[in-house]
Amino acid sequence: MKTSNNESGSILLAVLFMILVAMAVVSAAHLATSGQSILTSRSADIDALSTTGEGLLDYAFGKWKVAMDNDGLQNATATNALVSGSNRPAVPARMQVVDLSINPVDANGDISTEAVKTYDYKMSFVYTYRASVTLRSTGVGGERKVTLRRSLVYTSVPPTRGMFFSEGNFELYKPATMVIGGDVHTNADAHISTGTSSSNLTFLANSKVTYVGSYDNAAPAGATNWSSSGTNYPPTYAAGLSSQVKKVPEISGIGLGTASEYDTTDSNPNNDGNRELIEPPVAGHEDPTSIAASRIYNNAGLLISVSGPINSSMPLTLSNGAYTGGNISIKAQNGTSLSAAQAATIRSAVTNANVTQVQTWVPKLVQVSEQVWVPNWVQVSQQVWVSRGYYTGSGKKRHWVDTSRWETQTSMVDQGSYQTQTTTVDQGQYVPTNQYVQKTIYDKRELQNIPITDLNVGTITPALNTLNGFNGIVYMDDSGPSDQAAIRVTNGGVLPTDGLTIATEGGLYVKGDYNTGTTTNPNSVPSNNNPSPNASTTVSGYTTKSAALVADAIMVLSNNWSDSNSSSGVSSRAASNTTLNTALISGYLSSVSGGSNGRSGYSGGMNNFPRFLETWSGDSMTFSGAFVSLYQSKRFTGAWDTGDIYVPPTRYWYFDTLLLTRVLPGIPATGGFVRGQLSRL
Amino acid sequence: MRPHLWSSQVTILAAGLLALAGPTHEIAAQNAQRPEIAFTVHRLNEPNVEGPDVERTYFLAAGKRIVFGQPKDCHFTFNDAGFLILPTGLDGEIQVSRSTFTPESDLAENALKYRESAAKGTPKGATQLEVQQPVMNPYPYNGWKSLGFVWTYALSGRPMTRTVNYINLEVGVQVVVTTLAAKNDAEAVNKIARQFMSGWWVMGG
Repeated sequence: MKTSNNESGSILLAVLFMILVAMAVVSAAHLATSGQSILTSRSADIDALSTTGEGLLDYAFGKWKVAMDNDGLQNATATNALVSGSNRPAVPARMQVVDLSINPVDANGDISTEAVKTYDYKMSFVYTYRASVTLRSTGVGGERKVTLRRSLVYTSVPPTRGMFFSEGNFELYKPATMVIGGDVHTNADAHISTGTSSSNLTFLANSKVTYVGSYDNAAPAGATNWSSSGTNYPPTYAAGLSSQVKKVPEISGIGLGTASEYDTTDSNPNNDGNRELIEPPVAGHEDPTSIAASRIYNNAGLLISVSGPINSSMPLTLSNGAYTGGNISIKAQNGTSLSAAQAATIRSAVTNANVTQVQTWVPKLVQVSEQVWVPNWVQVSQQVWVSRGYYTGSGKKRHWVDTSRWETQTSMVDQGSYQTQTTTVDQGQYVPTNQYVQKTIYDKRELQNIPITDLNVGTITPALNTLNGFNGIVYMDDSGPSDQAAIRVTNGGVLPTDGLTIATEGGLYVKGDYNTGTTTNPNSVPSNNNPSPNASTTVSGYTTKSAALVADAIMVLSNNWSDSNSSSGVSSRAASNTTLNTALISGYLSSVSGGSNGRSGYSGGMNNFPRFLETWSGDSMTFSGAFVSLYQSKRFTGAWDTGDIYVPPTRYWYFDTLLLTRVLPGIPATGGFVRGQLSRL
Repeated sequence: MRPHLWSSQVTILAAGLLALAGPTHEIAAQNAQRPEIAFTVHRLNEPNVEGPDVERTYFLAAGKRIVFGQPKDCHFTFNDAGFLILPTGLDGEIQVSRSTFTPESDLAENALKYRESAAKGTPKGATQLEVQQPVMNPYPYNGWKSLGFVWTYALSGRPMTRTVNYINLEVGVQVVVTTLAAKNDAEAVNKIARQFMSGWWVMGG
């Protein structure tokens, strides 16, 4: 059969079309496979760049943290030097670091040449830096580039931003009924339990418990070797344990750059830990800059030093910047100006002398004659008849043979005699005299008479309000011979307008209401008149001032305290309702196994962080503020016990939320370093 | 009465330099006129108002329970007449006993009488005997008034220090704390004595 040409052409075209389609399919398949390969290679490269970039940002964080810790705030030049030049780490050969930088940023996130202080929501002020890295590599399909950023945040948290901040263990072991409303943080372990039922110890829903070490409901050391007392119950967490208890990183150091300076192994007494906060620097030794900047002694606007019983009749003379006289020295510093009249007013607020009858021995040496036996041992010989003999024979022939005879025996005989001897004898007597001495009170916990200096806040406040340039910080010091000298703050109902921090290296007693708005009528304070969870802690119309009391140990004496009863039995030391509105920053004692002197070794727990010395049965101690425990007590180290020392109050203790926004004069912050979120551009 | 031992009985009595003796005739004669002290030790488990419960040790004086803590690192013995404390590792001892006087005998006014009484315990054969000036309130605890005397002497060539301290307790009785120690250990022994006494308190006081 003959085909036509047209028909043959159509077939050819169809075949060609099919071939083209097949080629297109093959080509498309090839192209698709090739693109996937490129994409896969690119993705792997970018992953590698990202991983390396994150490592570089971690490196940058580490370098920045160490520099901040050691040297304080860093500007942009300093931070960039940390990650440039020889400080920049190597990366894999096929990668290039286009940029690696650390820069301070401001509140808007814009880069700044200097560190910028900003404020975090409610809690603290922060310094934010931005670490940025750009990495590049080349591969199939061209160049890959990755840019990563991470915020580096130094959060400076005043330790008074929670109910209780503890450098040591946080312990509550079977306290009297307690309700805690406020955050608790410990840089160590938390041992929290109650004795009879969980409802005896409650953490309100707004209370977070954060710890660095461990958390349990076990008995602390020292509490275990006393008699068994049943089950330890966990406390009640109003919002549940899982939402209120959390393990967190350490918040260390008091003041930026201090932690790395601490060294208890060297001979420098000026770098031994957080307690430097309350210590004057020891002359003749280096005072590291960051620690010096945190010392309250250095930062105070007013230094008051006593060296013995104060005699207000002596003139005050200005010498080396201090008004001195009558065993007291008053010095203004850090921009505070002080006139002679103001110094005299301040001295009148500081008292510590008593006229006391003292028995003084007046010797009277007399010669007395007495008969004294003077021995004279001599050896004498004498004839002594010695009876002896023996039997011989047996039966009826047995008989005694007597061999007795005189023998010469030698013996010692005292042939002394009484002789008259003249000796000097003190036949003096005690003569009572009135002497000007420093006042003491007996502290039943310390088992000592404590030399005490009273600071009458009611008297000093008007003077402080008129001091030009005064920064609100008073540092007091008793340089007398006793290691256990103390300051007592009295009449402290009304504080200076701009607040007041009182600090001392020794003990601090606070007597009666503090920062409540009245110095005359404790019962006008609702929390005293009708103690209850919602009672106001100030008189109507008074706003609490920024207040902190800082010492080696702080003892709370009630409005009813009387010095004359201080050494009497605990039942004679009856307390009365008392209210304090202040931060208490003080030392702690660690619980130890095996106590002494009849005491257990248990620390007493957070509930005894402010120490009590009275019978508070039926009385309340209302507290609004914050407890901060930064260092071990060094001078007031009497072990905890109840016994003859105290009967606990009903404790109405609250965190003062005003402290979330207040900066207390002279109280440096604790610091924490945080890596912010990673972002990829 | 046979002494009670709270720790290892080994060597305690042998090592003692002071005899933990019963009351002297003089003491016995005055017993009828003053509140009784019995150093026999009692124990009491006390539920605590907060914190761990406690075991108290006490003796009776003037009808009150005087709580004390057993001194650490010491051998402690007692009988009705007093306590004997032998600090471990120190050459010395501490005796707490009744006084031959009463608190009504003013310490300052009668210092010479107290000294005369205290001197009677000086061992025979002591040489180089020296007595220091009286010390007022060597035990300044709980508002107590006290009067102390210190003798130094040599006994068999060994320098010794002896202190006798009369203490008026707040419950209206007077006790005597006597320490005897080799001179080198005297300060440490006296420190233990003061620490021991400082821990006394009146239960329910």
